[in-house]
Amino acid sequence: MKIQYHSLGKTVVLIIVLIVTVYIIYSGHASKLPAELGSITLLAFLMAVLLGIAKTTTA
Amino acid sequence: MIGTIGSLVQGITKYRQWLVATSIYIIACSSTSVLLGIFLGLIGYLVQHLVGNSFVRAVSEYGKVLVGVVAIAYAFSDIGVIRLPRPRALHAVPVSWWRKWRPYGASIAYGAALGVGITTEVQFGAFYVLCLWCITQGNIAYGALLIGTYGVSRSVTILPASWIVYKQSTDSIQAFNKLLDARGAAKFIMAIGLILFGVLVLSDVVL
Repeated sequence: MKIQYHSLGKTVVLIIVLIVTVYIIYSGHASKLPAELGSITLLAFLMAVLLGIAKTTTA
Repeated sequence: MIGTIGSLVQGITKYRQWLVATSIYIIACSSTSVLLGIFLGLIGYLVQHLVGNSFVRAVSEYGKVLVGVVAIAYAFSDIGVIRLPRPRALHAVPVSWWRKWRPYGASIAYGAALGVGITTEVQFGAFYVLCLWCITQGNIAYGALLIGTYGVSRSVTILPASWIVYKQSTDSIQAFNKLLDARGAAKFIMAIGLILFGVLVLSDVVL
């Protein structure tokens, strides 16, 4: 797999999001959040909506 | 997508024609998305019912791990860090459909083709992740609902686009230059969504 370095900023943000999410879940803080935020099904449907909208940007 | 589909109503002068062409497109696109969801759910359902329960449990767990890993990998692929395969049936939907059959025939053809999702370049890895997720769920209704939601969302976004093309009689690419420029931001937002989804799915297996 070829690594490209031009999107370093985005990569850093994604890694931070990844680390923070893992930390929140594994530290037990996730249990203090509303249950809906941790719902995989809800997130899947949200992603389906976002994906549909995002695909509009394809020429 | 917006370039070709927005053009569907280019040259149309009557409101009724715009409404019918756009509605046909939305119905066709949503319908084939639902069918794709049914197909994916059916694959998962058959796998779950053709093999033993213990095997299914193991496959289901491995399936979730696979979805989680694929989601995180495609998040990084979407922003250009790594290259991953993006299988598709066509490079793009043929422009000739618009010339031959517009507006109504082309509305059906483009709607039906685009609803399947792999008839154009797939720039958002989330599409593969959601398809894989439907298979691992093995639930036909769930698959139809999830991919159907994607199809409805994808098709309904044509409304403001085609309305501007209809009202201003302008070229769709020209009208949506700014929207097309937002592709990078859209990929980044989807990548963040994929990271969250991937971690949640993996944590569901591990915890």
